[in-house]
Amino acid sequence: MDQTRENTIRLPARIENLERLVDFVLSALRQAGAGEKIVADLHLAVDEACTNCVSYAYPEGEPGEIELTCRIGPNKFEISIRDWGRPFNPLKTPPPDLDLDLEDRPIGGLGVFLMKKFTDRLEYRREAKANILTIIKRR
Amino acid sequence: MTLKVKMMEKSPGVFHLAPVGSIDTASAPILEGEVNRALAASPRAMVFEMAGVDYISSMGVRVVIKTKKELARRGARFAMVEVPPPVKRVFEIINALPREEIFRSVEELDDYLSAMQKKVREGEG
Repeated sequence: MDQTRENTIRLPARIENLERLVDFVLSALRQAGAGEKIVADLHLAVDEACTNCVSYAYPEGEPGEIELTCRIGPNKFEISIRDWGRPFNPLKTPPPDLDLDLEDRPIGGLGVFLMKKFTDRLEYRREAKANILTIIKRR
Repeated sequence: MTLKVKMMEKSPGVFHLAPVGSIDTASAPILEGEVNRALAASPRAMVFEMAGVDYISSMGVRVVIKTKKELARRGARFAMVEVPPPVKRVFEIINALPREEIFRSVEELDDYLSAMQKKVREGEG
């Protein structure tokens, strides 16, 4: 029997909704008994993914929606972030050059890099005109 | 978002900023606003007291890096003290701050700055 539990939230893709989106995930993780390290890592990953979405998915003046689905299974946590904006695969973002002196390093490009570092796997797919980024973290 | 930033000029030109809460996309502009207020006073050093920060995202890191760059451009110093482990981990992963700019406590920073000033005075003497 599949013991995976699934919860979904859909909100307008606006910065003022980021806190609700992140809190939705953190609360689901804590209810499922996730340790604080996992909660902290997924906090950062979900925050970065949602920030990208609300900042860049939709053209200015044409706000769309963002949907989060949290799947809690016996062995892993999966959070999918879906938007219906322009096609964008964040996994193709070039990594920042961490060897450059800070003074020479462009500010930016850190969000996706941090997401990769704080999760076990990231998957992207474009489906039915939606971008779907799935964050996977083992228990 | 829940972020409060306390700013103090602890000695002439040395501004301490103590953010309390989460530094994320929504709250990073609050910190940036306080940094700009301090920059307007032409500081010779800025110290971020981070003990009260429970979370930092890339947007918060950007504010810190931008502040450090601007201070370096002006020939002023930057330091962070009392950085909690989860916050420090983010900076370590992106290799963003040299070790000599992170101090365990304000006292450790004060000792370091006193030693630096002594060296400068001896060099001048």
